[in-house]
Amino acid sequence: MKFIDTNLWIGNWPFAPLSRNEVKEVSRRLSRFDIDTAFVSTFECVFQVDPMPGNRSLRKTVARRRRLRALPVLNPGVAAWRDHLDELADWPETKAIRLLPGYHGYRLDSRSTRACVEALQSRGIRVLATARLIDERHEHRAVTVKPPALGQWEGFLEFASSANPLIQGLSVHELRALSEFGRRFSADISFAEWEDTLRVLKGFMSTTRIMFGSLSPLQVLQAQIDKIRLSSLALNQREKVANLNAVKYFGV
Amino acid sequence: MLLACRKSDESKLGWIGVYGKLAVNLRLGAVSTSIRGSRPDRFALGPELIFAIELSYASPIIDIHSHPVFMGEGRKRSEVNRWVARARRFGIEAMVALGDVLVHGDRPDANQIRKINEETARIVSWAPEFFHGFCYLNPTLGERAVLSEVDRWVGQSGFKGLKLEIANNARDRCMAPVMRAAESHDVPVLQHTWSMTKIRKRSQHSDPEDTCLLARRFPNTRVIMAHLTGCGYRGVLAARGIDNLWVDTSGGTPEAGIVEYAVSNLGAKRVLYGSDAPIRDLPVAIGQVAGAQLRMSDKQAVFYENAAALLKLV
Repeated sequence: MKFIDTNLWIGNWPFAPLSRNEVKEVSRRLSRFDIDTAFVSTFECVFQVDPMPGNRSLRKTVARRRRLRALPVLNPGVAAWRDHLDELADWPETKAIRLLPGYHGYRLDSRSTRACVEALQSRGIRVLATARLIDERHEHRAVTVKPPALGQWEGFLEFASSANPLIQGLSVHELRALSEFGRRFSADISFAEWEDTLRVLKGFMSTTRIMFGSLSPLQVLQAQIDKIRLSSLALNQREKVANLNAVKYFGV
Repeated sequence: MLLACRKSDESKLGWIGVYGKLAVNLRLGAVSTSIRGSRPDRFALGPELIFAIELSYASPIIDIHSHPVFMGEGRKRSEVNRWVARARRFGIEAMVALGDVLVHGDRPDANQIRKINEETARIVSWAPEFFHGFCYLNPTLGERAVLSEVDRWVGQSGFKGLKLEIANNARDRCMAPVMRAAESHDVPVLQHTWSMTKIRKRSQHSDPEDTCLLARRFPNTRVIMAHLTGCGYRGVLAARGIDNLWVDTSGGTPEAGIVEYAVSNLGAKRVLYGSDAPIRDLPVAIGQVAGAQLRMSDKQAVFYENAAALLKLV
């Protein structure tokens, strides 16, 4: 089973003694688990207000890596976000943009986020919104980031659902609650977990809207792969989640 | 045999069954040279076989932390049968059933405790070769209530341990009768533990330091500190050098690095595989250990040997 990873990270995470995570190690890992394509962002963008230096260095780093597609981060909480978007949109490989509302400190239902989503949509660029990178119940003391509350996600979807945003890092409970809101969105499985996760998710959202996202290196890649590979859903359903939905979504 | 595997639907039970035969062969050394020499990560059949090979080195598996019934779901015999079949598919040979511990809230009364333990006993009776029951307790109910439950379920019904959740903090005085009862019956105590760095409900929840203090206060009672990911690096450091303490890998998403850190600091003999299913997904919980950068002998200890010794299954 081939995989497309929509939630991969490169660089060093400062709060855990993880093994090296530069492009060479990442590529080796992808190859080992049959991950054909991975959309990758850099941790450098998480902790800096201006994500562009990180985006630029990421672009250079992955330029000649067949499996890796740069997934730049945009921060609509800073005044220059339109300039940043102009630059990113000029990069022909830009298929999608990641938003990190928790780490960059803006509301998902704010006017600037709305303007940002509309600008992305008008340029045909996909919107990925990341709820969390670490379980906030035991995140490092130095970090006080909380994922946006459900009300914010609902406010976000009021204007963003026409763009079918890919929401990453929500739990099964959060996804169920958001599904009840009745707006269109897609989701990754990075934080969604319950016994036989995919079957549980299928109970309230279509498998055509679920995509593989490993959140590697913060999460064990094999465990995330096995969440899909060893689900009790039929093979064609698992393949949708593993890669087919992402092929359609990103046009890769 | 391998071609037959390839043609079959990989979701069927037969896959792991066939892998199981491979595992036996591997352990007997019959095909060990070809498998070990062929770099499993490049093996022709791809990741499904990698999973099987990695498990085969470490299998069988004992899951020290599960809740077959959770918040009232999973009570029917057919549901339990499905649960057992799915667990076996992943190489799990035995599972500790901890009871539906939160169905009546944080502090269940004596009747509610009794009902939870009765339900655990019923589930164990449906698959006695697979499930091992732990007796759920609310220490705040006092010594008489605690001893009554322990005598009934451990003394008379063969439960293999005691389970404590969030009725109180592990430091509290009310823990003394629980720990003495565990010592007298020679069974381990599994204490829910999670870092309170952000949750801040320490009056009822136990920090790793609280559970470690409990183990130090009662050195003759074996303590399992639950939820390695929730205990975090600080919890692992707190657990160093406590001979009667084990930590289980259950709970939390499969965060990278923490299993390796626990093995490196505590030794593989102190780490137990656990899932916390159905809150967690069985293959994900297994994958967190199988995918950790550990020696195969350490994985075997974590997956099976330590729990087998602790539960006196060998």
